[in-house]
Amino acid sequence: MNGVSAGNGALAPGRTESTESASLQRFPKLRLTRLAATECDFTLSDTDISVANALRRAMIASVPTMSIDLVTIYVNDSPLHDEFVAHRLGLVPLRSDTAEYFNYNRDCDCTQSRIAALSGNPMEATNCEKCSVEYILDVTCPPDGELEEMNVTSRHLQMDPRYFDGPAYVRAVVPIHRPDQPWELAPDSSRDRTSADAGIVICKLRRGQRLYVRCIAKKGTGREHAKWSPVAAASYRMDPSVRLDLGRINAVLSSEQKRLIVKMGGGALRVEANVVTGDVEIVEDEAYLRGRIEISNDCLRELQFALEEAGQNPFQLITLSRGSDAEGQRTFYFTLESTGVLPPEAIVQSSFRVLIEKILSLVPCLRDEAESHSIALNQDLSYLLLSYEQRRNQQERLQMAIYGNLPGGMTQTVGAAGAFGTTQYAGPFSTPAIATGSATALYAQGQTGYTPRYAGEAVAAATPYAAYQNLAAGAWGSQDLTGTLRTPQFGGADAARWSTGVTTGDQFPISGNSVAGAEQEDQPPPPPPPLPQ
Amino acid sequence: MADDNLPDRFESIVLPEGVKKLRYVPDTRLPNCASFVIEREDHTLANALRAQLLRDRNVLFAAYRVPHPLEHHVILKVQTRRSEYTPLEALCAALVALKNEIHVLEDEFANELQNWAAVRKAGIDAGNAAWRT
Repeated sequence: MNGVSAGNGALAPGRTESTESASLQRFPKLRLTRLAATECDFTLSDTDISVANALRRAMIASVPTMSIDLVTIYVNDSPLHDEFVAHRLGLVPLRSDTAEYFNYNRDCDCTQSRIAALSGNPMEATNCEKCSVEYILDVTCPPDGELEEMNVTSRHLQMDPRYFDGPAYVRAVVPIHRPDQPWELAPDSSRDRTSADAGIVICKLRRGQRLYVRCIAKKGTGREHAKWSPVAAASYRMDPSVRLDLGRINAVLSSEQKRLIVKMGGGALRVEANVVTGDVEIVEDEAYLRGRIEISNDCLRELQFALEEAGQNPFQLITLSRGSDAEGQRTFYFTLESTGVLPPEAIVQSSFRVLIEKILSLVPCLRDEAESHSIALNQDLSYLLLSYEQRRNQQERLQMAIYGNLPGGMTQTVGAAGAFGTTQYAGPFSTPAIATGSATALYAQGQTGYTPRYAGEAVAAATPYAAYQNLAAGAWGSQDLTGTLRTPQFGGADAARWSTGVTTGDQFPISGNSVAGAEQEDQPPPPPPPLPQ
Repeated sequence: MADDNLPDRFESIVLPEGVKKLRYVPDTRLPNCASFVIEREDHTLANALRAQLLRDRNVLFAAYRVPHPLEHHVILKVQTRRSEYTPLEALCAALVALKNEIHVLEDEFANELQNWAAVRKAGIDAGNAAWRT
């Protein structure tokens, strides 16, 4: 290497400094080769491995999703101990299209929320509808029923009605029973419980046993715990870096050796009969040439030995290339498999956003450090700083769009007409698992018999998944996007439409409920919602 | 409890109060050389930045290390060839280049999604779609 004193002489001739800095910019290419409900393949080229790896790591560990994080166990008669049940519940995937709208629980000021006001003791609220979703799992295997034992599955998870009546983005967080589950706004779990698609088994119950837990789902990333990782698999492959001089190899080896090598090649090589000589020949498979298959080390080792036996120098016939050009750029074949919590394309887009946020988070500090060490920066940081500020305010603006500018957030919003008293409870569905008729049982019953009053209305179109439907319909570019939000499904216009789904207010009269939580110190079951007569 | 001294899980993500995201530590022994201590970041960002810095002809040396798995910062060391081009500037250029690169990727992906939707809408078999070339 040149010493420090080399200065400008180290630069390539004819390249001035200005073109140097400009040439740092690359224009990588990305081609989508497959897009299914939960899987997606794409090809990344004209960039190097650091970018590909950053993308992969961001997809695995940095994309925010929702997952059950806190479980309160009231009754657990099941064979699994409490921690076991809690862990299994944490791993249940929850639809996370709307995770963008949630705060992180650690950043959230829950005392200002509607849930806090409902609890009667707002100052002690540790979670709220801005940062979490609550589920109730109350299943009893009937003591005198015909069932000897039953499965408790993800279909038994019922959203807490206090949250269910909250904003649409909270309601959208539902358990994913299978990865390609179609989008449902409020799946009525009692209907298809008997269907073949039974959901994710959490535990089993024998006759007369009961499992009663409350789960709090929070926003997080895979960095914190793998349950928040939205991908089942995210990986990339590179172009093959082994080149074989097949003309000379074929001339040297016997046909038995060729057959053996092809067998060990794992699909990368094929044998073909040469019509002229009548001998078999090794040919490279097309899938191998296109980089779909890698040649195994065992095969190369065998080939090396065979060539040595034949008196050839194997290193002249087998070339290990870097598979990349001088700049280290090569092609990466990504395979992405979602767990179902997010569509694969949303995972990719979210990971881009995460990477940009990571980069931008350094910029203000970079400026401060330059100032404090009195180093003159020739570059103009104002553009970067501006986009940093915009990104940072994004969450705030989303919530503004939903909750309005009122200090009390949702508690102050004027609600719609649908109060609890007028809601149809105790519909035709009665859960056979609940025979006791206690308050909590009715609680769950009310939930299953709950007629979703938003169904079929504009809210369905306002869910972010609808953005993907629009995409399929070719309406991607026609959406009204604000300049700073680069991803359509979370655009400002969407956020505004979301607020149309928000109805609160007199369903939950704050004054009437403020005493409800006072004497709840030692009673584990949560306060049931006001029941209609 | 067994996990009494268990660190909080979010410690590797959340920047504590009063800690700078990026610290500039000039190297006293080498000219034009400095370390950057980047808090609450890992290989994801550090490796990408290092690769961008190495593409810069004015950068003589760039490397990073993660000092310990329980310390959630990376140390990025940069040495430039000329005193007029400080490591801080080199890092700045690398940040800009990386950010623009990801923006390019973002746009490419959005385009591809649009193409995909168009192809799907037209009912063309995705396996041998013309736009794939």
